[in-house]
Amino acid sequence: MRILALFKVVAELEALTEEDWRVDAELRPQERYVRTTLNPEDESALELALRLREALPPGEAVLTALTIGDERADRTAATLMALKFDRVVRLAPPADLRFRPELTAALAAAEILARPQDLILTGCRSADGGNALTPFFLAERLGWPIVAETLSLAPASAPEAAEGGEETGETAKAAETAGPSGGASAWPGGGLPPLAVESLTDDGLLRQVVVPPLLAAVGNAPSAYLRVPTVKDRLSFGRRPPEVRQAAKGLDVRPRLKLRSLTRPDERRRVRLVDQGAPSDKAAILLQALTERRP
Amino acid sequence: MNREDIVANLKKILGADRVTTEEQALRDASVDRFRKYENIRGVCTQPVPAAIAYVQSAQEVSDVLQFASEHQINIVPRTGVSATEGGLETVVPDSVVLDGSRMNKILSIDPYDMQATCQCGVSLQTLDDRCREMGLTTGHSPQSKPLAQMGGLTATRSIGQFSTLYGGIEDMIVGLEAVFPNGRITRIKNVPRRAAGPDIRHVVVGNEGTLCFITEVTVKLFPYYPENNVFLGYLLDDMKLGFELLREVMVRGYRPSIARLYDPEDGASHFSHFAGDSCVLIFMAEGPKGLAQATAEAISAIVAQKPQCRPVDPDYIRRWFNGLNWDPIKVAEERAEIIATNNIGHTTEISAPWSRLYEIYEVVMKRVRAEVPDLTLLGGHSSHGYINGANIYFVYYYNMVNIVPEEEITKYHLPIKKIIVEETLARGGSMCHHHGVGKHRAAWIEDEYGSSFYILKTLKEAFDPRGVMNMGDIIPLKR
Repeated sequence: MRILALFKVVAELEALTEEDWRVDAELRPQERYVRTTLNPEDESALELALRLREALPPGEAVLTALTIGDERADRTAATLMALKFDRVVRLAPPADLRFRPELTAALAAAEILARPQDLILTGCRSADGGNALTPFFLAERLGWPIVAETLSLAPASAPEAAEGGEETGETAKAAETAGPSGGASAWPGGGLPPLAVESLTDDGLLRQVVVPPLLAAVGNAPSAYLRVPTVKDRLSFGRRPPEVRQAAKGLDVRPRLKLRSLTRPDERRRVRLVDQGAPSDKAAILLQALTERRP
Repeated sequence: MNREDIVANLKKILGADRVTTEEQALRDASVDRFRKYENIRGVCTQPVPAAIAYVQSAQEVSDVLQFASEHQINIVPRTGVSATEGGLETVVPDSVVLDGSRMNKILSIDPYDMQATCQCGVSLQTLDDRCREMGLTTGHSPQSKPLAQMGGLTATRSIGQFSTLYGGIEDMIVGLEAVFPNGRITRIKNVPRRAAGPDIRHVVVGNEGTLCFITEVTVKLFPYYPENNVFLGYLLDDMKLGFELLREVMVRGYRPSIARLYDPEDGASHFSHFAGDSCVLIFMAEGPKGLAQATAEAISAIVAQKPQCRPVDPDYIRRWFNGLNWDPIKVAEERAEIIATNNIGHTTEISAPWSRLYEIYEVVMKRVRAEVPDLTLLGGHSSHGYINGANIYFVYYYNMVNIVPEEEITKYHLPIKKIIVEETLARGGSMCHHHGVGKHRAAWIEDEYGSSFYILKTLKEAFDPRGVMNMGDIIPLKR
């Protein structure tokens, strides 16, 4: 199974101070002064990709990590190499991708169409943009089903697979698109193994059996921090630089919307300090305050 | 005396509301951050204490200590509970954790005599914030500032990030009040200096609760000029050059408040956004404007002689400086991350003369990498410089592979600590720069002291003849 995890390295915007919010001519705050971090939901997507590889028969999964961004992503790329991703690719963006989910999706889709995949994992939203649109635009461009707010993903059990795989009606399509790894599947039905995907919906937890191709947009997945590579693996595998390419040429990158201003969101919170009385009195005050706020 | 009788007597001395026997609180009180993984996983390997007793006056401390001495009950003193070296571990059954955190009054801040007096349970953050409102500072700023309290900071000989200018807490303590296990309450008066025999403050400072319980301290104050702070930062490619530059600054007589050198591994968690794989050298000059500027200019001139050092925008350093400390939120985040990743980090700090510093750094890095499995980060920094040497703060993280929680220490942490301690002692350094000895470096205490161990041992025998004060700390417990 060819698995692609899309990730993004973002500035820790919450660490920006008031003075860092002086935007420059390109309407950027002074991000360079704060550390960068792996977008949390992408981190979960990367970890789920590693777990899926472990759950599949050895040699079944080929893992690629893809990011579109500048060299600030290279440290994360080195970590992913140390975690033995088969390939780590960084596409240099042709334009400012902030608030451009349609362009981000188009660039990723061009890369995926050039180098086909069976499963794409990515975060639902990024910590900086937060529009939660990129996975949907990407699924639309690829014509793939998408499971939003994915929490976990694993090969389906045999009974589940037999039932769910037929229900989705995707088996035939998967067999058509399966690459070299598809034929080696341990899945008795042939083609790609069905996946049991858990996601969070408005009605609660949903478990579906889906046969790839699939785009799983990972939400707030519990206990899905990216594992940490050992120093030995960093030294042995993490020194290989990522493949760096210009993102697809020939795309129309002109913005359809113009960013006119950027201001810091007002995140002030009201604080009421209860510093008098016994713990039971304080608890009573807190309970009353919480009760009052309930609709 | 059995457990129930210990609790009953404590309640009689202090009142029932000041004696805790709640099970989870007792389990938590049996350890400190050294055993954070066991604690996170709900595993309790240390004997659970009989009670946590909250004292509110020196007289109460005296009453409890007399009771403990009489019945040979182990007393583990604590205040802010930010210890990292097992100092708070209750290593024998039915210990009593004596908690001074409710003695939390600032008694005076005197801007004329430039000293502040407070009870042992005042948090350093609270004290320093109050001082800063008056244009003053204690000059003490360890990473644990939001958590640690004045009694514990004094008892462990703590040091802060601005030590190169202000010194460690031993340079700041003017006088104090302490209670000894025979119940005697003693006060060391507050004077600028005296030559009236040995400096007995140093019997108390750093005693780690093994000789007495500190109830009150008076510390020096300094004028606070944050507007004059000047930050300098440099990237360089090797630690050896970095140590040389730190030394050069110190021996030429300059006193920046911060003088730090990070290796690439350790630095990555702070400076990844601008340092790449370089070492990072940092200075902050503070004080009256002319002095701060002159200090910064002189350091710039020293570093400029080494073209291998590349200056960075000082604003990077200024912003880093503003987010250094550990607070309860960071502790909670760390717990969540350890559970999720099964990856944990610890530190060990040592000091050594300039001539041996790089050698220790190099041999430790080499041996730990070769001998300890599952390491995910091994790095270090130097953060406290002196005329004759500096410290190294080794930082290490590892994945915990195929172990039960109680094996984390024996499989990973102690083998690493052992390498660091032994290589340091072999080269004439000190195995403890500022975290204290605790329980887990006590095994090497005689090597640390050499022939002067006689003085330490005699102090213990004289002030704690029944051996009830923090058993197993500094001097190992003979079983």
